[in-house]
Amino acid sequence: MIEINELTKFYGKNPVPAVSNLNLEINNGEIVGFAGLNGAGKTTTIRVISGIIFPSKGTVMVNNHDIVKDKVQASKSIGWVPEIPNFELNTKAIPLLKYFGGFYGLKGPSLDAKIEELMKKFNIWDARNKKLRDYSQGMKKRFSITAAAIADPDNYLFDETLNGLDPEGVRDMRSLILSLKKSGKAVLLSSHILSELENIADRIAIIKEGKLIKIIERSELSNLGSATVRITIDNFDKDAGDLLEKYGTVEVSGNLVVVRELKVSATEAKKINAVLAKHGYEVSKFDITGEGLEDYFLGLVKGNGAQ
Amino acid sequence: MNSFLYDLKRSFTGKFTIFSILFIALISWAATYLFSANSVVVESTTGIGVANAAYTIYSSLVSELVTLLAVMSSYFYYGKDKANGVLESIICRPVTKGRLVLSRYLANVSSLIVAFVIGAGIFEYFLYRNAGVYLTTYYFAALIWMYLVEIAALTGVIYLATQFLRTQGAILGVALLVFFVFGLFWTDIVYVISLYALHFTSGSSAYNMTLIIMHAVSPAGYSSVIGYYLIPLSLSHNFNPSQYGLTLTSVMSLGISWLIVPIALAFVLGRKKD
Repeated sequence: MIEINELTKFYGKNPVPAVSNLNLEINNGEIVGFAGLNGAGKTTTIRVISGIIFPSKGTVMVNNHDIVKDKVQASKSIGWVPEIPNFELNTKAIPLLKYFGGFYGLKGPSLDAKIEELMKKFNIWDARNKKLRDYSQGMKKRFSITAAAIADPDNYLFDETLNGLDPEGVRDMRSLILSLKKSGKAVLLSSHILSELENIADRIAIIKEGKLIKIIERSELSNLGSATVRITIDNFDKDAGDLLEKYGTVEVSGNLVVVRELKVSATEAKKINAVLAKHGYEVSKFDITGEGLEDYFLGLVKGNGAQ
Repeated sequence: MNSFLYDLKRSFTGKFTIFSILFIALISWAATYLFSANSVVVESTTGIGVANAAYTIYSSLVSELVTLLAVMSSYFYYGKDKANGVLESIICRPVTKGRLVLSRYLANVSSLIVAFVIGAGIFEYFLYRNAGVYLTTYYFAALIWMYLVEIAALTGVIYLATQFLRTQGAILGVALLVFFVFGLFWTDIVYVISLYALHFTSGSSAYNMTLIIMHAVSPAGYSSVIGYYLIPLSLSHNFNPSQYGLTLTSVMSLGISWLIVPIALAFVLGRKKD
């Protein structure tokens, strides 16, 4: 479990904090998506949690150990997968993994077996005799995940890990993250790919200019922001458009009509179908949905007031 | 694997260390021939004894090499990895930043010391074989102590500078600056300051004192200080080390200070800074 309390981070003499008074909990068996535009503070937050940089204010507790005051104990429970894996390139995977394992007190045949198991699991076992310099970007990422999992930590931090992965890699990552959740691990997943967060996250934390502006629960995902009505009218004509304009802003694309920014309540909107039928229009599809995560996210972070 | 053992293995098996060991061995071997061919001349012109002459020649030959290899190995084994983010893959493990600094530093210094001890051993062996003389245990120990202090001081200085610098270029630049200023041109700088800026007469007490102080404050100057203490005649004929505060205690204290202070500062800053 990771608890972030009032986390603030300034870089150098810059008076504007990269992260400001951020509070977030990532519980065991939970995947928390972390979304924000470039420079929003996602990577800074993850780097503080992983003990790479120090917080300017606030605390980060990992399994009840302070990442600053009790770094060694806290770090035992963290697996960090950075956006750009950066390892000593002139070495081979196994000696480096043994070195990493040594920090957790792992050694001997059990460590050897663990390394083999993980390298096979993440599909880099065949490259064990190559130097990391000769790994592709995708392989380096897989190695990075192997290195994070070497001590089977309770908490995982994935920082834009899906970037640069091929479709197979994305699928494998998705199933890995879900299996981590199933085994009770706490996962913080930062990503630009909102559809992935939407698919697997239990909650999505949205950060803007260093501040946490919204946490979306999984149950809210299907009903985000203002409702939108999508109607497929087989015999659509201009009069149908005029009829619908009193319900909201109408966008037409062929037979598909989307009514946004509704001027009526959701209950009233449900009656649109009946009104259209009364006027002789044949409605083959009628759907009232939320805004969709992407639109909602952009509305939030660009300040369009889409809350 | 224990992290320090890994760092040690990494330092010893690194291309830079292997190159250093071979290069120092070659220089040391060549130095014995240089000395053997001129030993009689050296002894008669300097009048400081064969062992002293051998010590003086060898230590002055390798002192610049010590500076160059110490600053460059610090860059390769610590500065570069810190600037390009490789150390982050280690810092995220159960280890403190301070311990990581110390582990790399000790491995770094150990590998260089071994390289120079091998070099000194080769010099000793071939000196005996070619000229029939050898450095006494006293001078050999002084030579090793001098290496230890200078390597530790220079390595510590670069580790310290790395705490303030962000890019590989800046760290490499500082490393080369330290080599050029303290390794190559320090003696010239000292002469210019004492003779032309302060207008001291060569061989005067003030001049000698300036020389000692200037070398004492240089991380690469300990070999000169120890040389003035061990072989006073190498400075001037009427030079008395104790008159200038050069005693066994002060020379050892200076060495211990250079051993401890730079790396202690690097350690403290390394623990606190991002």
